[in-house]
Amino acid sequence: MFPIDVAHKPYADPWQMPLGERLAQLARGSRRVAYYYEETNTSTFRYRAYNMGQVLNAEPGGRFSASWFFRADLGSAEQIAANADVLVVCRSGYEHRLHQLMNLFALQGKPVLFDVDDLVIDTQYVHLLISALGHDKDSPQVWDHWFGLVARFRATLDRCDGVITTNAFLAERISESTGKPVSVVPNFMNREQLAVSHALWDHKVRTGFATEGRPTVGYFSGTPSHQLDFAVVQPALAQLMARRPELQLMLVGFIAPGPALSRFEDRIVRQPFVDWINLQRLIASVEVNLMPLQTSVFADCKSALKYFEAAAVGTLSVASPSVNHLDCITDGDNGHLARGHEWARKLDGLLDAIVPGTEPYRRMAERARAQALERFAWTVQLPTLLRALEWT
Amino acid sequence: MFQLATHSLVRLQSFRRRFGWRATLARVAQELRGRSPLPGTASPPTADQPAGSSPWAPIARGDTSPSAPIRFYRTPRRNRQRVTVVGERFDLRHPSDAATTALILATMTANRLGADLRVVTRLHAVQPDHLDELLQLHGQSLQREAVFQFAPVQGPDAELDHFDDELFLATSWSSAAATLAMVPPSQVVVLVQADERLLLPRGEARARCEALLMRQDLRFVVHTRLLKDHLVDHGLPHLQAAAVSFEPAFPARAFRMLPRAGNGQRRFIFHTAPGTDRDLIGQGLATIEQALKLGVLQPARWELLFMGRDMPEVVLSNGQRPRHLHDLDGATYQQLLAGADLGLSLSPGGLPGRTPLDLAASGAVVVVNGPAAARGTNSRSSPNLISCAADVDALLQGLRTAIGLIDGDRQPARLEQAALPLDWAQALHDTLEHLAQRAPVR
Repeated sequence: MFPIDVAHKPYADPWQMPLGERLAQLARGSRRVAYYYEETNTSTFRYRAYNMGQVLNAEPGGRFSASWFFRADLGSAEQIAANADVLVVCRSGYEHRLHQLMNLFALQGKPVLFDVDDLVIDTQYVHLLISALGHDKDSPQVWDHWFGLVARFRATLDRCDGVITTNAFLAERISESTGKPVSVVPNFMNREQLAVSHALWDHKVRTGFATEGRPTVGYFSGTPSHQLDFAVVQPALAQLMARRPELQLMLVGFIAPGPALSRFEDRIVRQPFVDWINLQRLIASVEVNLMPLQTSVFADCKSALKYFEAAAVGTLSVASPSVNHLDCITDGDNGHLARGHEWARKLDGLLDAIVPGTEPYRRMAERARAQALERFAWTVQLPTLLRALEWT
Repeated sequence: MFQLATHSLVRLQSFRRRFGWRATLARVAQELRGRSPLPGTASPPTADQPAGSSPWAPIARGDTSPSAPIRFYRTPRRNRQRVTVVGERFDLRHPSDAATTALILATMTANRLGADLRVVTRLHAVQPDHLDELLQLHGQSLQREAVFQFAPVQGPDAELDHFDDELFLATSWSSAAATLAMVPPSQVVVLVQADERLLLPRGEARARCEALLMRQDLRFVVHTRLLKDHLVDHGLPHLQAAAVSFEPAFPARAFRMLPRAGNGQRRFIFHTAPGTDRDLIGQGLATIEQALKLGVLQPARWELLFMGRDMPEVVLSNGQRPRHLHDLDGATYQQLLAGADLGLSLSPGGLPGRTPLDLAASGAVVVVNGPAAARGTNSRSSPNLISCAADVDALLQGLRTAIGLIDGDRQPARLEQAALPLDWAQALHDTLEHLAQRAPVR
């Protein structure tokens, strides 16, 4: 493991502000965008609303402003509409109050855009989606829920003027399904995430990428929907842990080791779900970040955020060759790609490279970090975001 | 303790407004007793959390045989093409017999079509790295993604997606039947590597196997011309036109002969193919006993190794207990064959599978129970194969002939004389073109 000397940071959601403050923040720019999401969370809301607002609000001179609003704020829909030039509805299902908010914008001739980060806008993919998530197909509630949810997302989307999404591949799927204009703004790292990542990187550089204790591979899951993704790599992990008695596995978040790993329980470090700031500390501590994905069009639509968040703290990733992983990772240059049958060999090779010294690892980590910052830092997103909002 | 979520309370209020207090209380009481949710009040699964218990009654499986239908559902293909190879099991530990050929054909078909490869099994999950090792051993690589799915015939139903234009390569009659239950025949190619009718006792399974092989709406790919001729001659004449055949390849990097010391101990391998019946195995054992008794095989000169999953543990009459070999990794298998001089390989119907050919390609001279047409001669596949009738006298005579060849000091030329294809691309070229031209994958 890499020793971490950056202290655990007390965490508070940076987006928690009273409605009045959020409205004031929205009102102060010359061009103003209101982001809507049903309620806060640390995944979709953070990437698609909070981070976008941070980029716009950071622009000096008050040229742009943004704020975020939730279902609980919809009693003030008129104020939101009066103080914004554009509404971006993030992955929210159709309902009467949201319809009213969208309608207010439309009546005032203001554009309404739909932002979505997964292939959840077309019911022809729901069967595949339920399978990929590993849900109980013998439960009618599961079918009701997912068909209902996707249909509601689609109903919202259908009432929007255009769509913003996270990557070109998902944009193509949305375009072919809806015929709407679609633009891409990637997921990216915000100011707070980059600040802690810089500190963690600096420590690794200062210590010459020195490691201590057991070599550790990590799987970091922000939601419980990745159990079948993790299953892709389990046979290889079981094999490597049997062959390498020093190897340790770190599982963070909502993920359980399957039966193949049960005999290595004493070498599995379980960490509960952690906030996204301190998650960077855990990612920085492991030598290898695992990014397995089931192969499907649904997985191909997922962004490569796990990759760039690891790259930012100097941790190398081994990833399934999904469309967006292929877009970011050049095998052997800034990370590794492993097809379904190659995981054991690829991980073995990477672990071998670490043991005698960290120089090849460091060089690869440097390339990965430089490319991640070049593409996925919040500081470089403004032009893309303005194009998506049609403000250029 | 029973708790109602906030949104459930909202739904309850809605229910009360619609049906009144009395009905609402009755339903709450019912819910508390039976935990059956009020219509519309059950907690829906969140985006990341599946629903709880299933109110749908479980549906028992009707068929738990390997030919039981694989449950497929259609899904849009979009960017990915796919070739799916289906089998009961793919034992890629050696001797792997049919699994090696099936997975190399499937890999190269996927590469030819620019498709992902999906490996589906019914009885045992495949260890993914075994495919990696196999491909490396044979100098092959998969260009796109590999997916491994286990659709067990026992336990909960596994359901797999499929594309409208996906190509399925079924590697046995039962896996073909299981696939065809929910996939159109135009998408299915049956890979035949043995006359499976010979492996089945008379009865329903054999009849179904025969009926499947007789289907005119399927495409067949047959491993070896010898097997295709046999099938055509034995009740399946339509395969003359409906099937293409290919010969397997034995890349020089995987199959090579080690230099032998002039007076060193020699290695004899007795192999039986999967499904070989006990009588035939008995013939083989009796031949070995006789060879030892008559000095054809001298214990001091010959190391005896037995290979095959169905091979019984035996103590020979001279007290020797031959070492059993199975589940070998690629490197160990390669090393074992490279040191082999003589083989005796028995298979149902005398249709040699992969293992005797691996032995022959590694430079060993192998006695096989060949079909009548080939008996008494070297096989048309390789001069390193000697075909005999499956009786003790004939097999013993085969061993004598083989040892004569080995002692005749033709070792350096043995590998070249094996006359087996060295290159998979060349060996499978016509078959891959045939599959590509007629494949549903576009």
